[in-house]
Amino acid sequence: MQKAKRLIGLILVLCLAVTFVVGCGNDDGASNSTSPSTSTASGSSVAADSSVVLDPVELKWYVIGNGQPKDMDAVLAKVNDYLKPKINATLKLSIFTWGDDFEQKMGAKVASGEEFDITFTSNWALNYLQNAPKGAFVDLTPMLDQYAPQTKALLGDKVIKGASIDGKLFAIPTNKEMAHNWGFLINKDLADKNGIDISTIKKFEDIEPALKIIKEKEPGVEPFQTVVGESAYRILDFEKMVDDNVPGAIYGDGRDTKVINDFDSPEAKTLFTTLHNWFKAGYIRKDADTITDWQANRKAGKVFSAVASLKPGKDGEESVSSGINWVQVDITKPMATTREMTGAMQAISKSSKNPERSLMFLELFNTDPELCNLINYGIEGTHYTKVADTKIEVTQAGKDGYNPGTPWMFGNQFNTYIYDSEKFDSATAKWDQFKAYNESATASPILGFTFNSEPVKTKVAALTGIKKQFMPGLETGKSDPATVLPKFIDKLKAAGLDDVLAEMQKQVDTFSANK
Amino acid sequence: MESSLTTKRGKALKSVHKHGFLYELKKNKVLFLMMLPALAVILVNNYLPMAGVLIAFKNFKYFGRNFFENFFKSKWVGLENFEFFTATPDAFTITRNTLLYNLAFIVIGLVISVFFAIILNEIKGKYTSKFYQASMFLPYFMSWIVVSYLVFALLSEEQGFVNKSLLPMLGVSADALPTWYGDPGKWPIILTLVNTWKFTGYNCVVYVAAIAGIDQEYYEAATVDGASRFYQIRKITIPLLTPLMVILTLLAVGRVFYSDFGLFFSVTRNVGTLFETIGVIDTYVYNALRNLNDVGMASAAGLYQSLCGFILVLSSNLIVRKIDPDKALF
Repeated sequence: MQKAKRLIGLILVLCLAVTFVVGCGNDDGASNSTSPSTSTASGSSVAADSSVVLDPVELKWYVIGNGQPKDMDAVLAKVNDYLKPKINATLKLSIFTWGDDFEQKMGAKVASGEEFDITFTSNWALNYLQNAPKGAFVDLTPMLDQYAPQTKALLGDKVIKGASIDGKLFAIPTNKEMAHNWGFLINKDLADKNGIDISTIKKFEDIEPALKIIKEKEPGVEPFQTVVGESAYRILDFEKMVDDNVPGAIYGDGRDTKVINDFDSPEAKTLFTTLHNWFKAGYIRKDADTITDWQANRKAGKVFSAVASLKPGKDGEESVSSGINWVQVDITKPMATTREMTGAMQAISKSSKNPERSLMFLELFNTDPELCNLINYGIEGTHYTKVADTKIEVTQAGKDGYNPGTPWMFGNQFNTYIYDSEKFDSATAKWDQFKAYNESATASPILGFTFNSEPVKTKVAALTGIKKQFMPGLETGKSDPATVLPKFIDKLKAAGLDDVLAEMQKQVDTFSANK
Repeated sequence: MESSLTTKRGKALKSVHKHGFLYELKKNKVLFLMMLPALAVILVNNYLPMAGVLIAFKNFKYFGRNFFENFFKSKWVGLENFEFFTATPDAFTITRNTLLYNLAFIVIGLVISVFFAIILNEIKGKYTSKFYQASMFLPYFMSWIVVSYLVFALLSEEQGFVNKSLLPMLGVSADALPTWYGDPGKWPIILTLVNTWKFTGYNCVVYVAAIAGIDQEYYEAATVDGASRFYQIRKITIPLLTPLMVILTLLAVGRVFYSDFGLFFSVTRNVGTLFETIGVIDTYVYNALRNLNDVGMASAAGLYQSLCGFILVLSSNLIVRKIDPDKALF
């Protein structure tokens, strides 16, 4: 009976706790804005007066990548030695693997309100455009001037505007190339061995003769890799309104701002037909739509070509991280879209107890080359050795123990070293080319636009479900577009496609009118 | 617990009601005390989170660090979260698949497990019987991920055993090889086979135990009367197993709106082309909502499933009670 009493006591306490929270919840609008502003107020005195001692805090930081490296603890120890005197914080960085792993873990962490400080977010993983409006991240706009003035200057108005949602910035974009183009990554060794002249490839279909040669001469090699998530569909370069899973886009070359169902465009139909022919010819592996680990074959040198998102020197970076000699072939023209501005960002979680300190860390991370390179490449002398002032060679210990290979994600890429194997003379040369690439890019007519899916979210969910039924077959060439594509389009329409497209067009028009 | 006691004791039922709950509590206080920890677990684990179903009617957003704060500040939206369920033209397909698969699993599972339990009981050698039972049990301990790779190793179109070794050996030409992961028609059979293979051993155990509990005197008397082994099974074993079958089936019916996510997601590798025959409610919800991270809509789906399950259990129990009151669950 004692136990029963205790249990009743426990329930009473729980009820009390619940009513307490209800009580707190009543002052709705006020508390939403107070929590950041009060923290800003208390934090401001701290930042302004360096003699005030900052409490030691631990910052939990989650990112996407190749999984937790072996030597993470050693690198973090170095990082913490460095951070302690500066902002009295220690860092706990966890790297999850690509795809579902990161997506599921972070989805659960965000939804359950688990306490953490910083997370990677983007338009393709832990969707920034959907999570930020839901309130998952701290609004950084009022904090920028105080805690990250240099980052603000570094990114510039164009990027900050592009990454903002309704004028509010919820995450700090990585300072990197701010444009994109699509093309091929081609295995150079296989091409050279079989006498394939890469320079003749100017558009997507031009690669076909090369695929034929590879198919005949290199058994066991995938001539062309297209899998779910690393799809050849991206070569069409549509500027998607939501993400790859939801139909609705404008043409990526910026010809107009008319929202169309991109899966139903003539370009898509041609592409699906080409892919289906390649599938039948054996250029695409038969089980492409069931493959989840596409990297294994690439690293084993068993992939000849694939569509990839490109930028200057992409082939060099890719060669180092996969150990295979790649060469890139640019197909589409560089474009600057919201996609790049939101392509790789670090957001501060609403559940963080130390949003100011997290932002202070990000500021340091973006402005301090030493910290940035430490997190990107590990410890000098252990994980890499310098071969020139800004060029490094990764040691064996580095390859085994610490090789995140994601400089585009971590901080300020213009501060990082480059690999010895890259064709540039120095890091400066590479970053100058990046800057030129950024400037050469055409700006999208709706740069800075973000679609608010809230009014049609149930339909977006239904459309996503349908896309996942049909696209894997079409984008891997397994399904015959002549029969499958019409079914796909009909089903999308039945699920409310037209309403969603109309809502997209409405928001795009409003955005264009207010620009 | 009380209900299982009463069904076992049958006639003791009336005396319980005469004395009331307090008398029972006093009389069996040690038993009730022993039940407390389990009750506490159920309360904390199963009943407290039930308040969470209210999320299904909210537009769940994040306001602060605290789950409860988020919960109470989110707006009520009525049935809006259920719309993604009705908005899809696939609502019929996924409901049909979920129901049909589960019904097939229940019927086939019941028949096969009872069949194997009886056969195992008939095997005379104690060690042979144990060996068979253990080897049947083994698949149950494999996770669905492992099973999915076993199936993939068999059926993969690039390297699968069936397409690369077995069928060519039988003289099937390379053009006529089936595309396992491209043909929806094959999957109802594959999935039923895999599911049966995995769970038969486990389901068997319960029936083997029940058979072992049957009084041997029945069989002895029947043998004296000259009844054959087969006749004894029909007239003694199966009738005595019926109450257990009814209970286990009723429990399974309550879950017909749920589908084994591992089976339908991992084993099929979630291949979109197969959707017509492998799409079930759970995988649909996963596919539609994974990128959205919308807690409200996910809860709506969960609530819909439990509500349907609840109604089904009540009604099937009602039917059982109409036919034979003694065998009903409650």
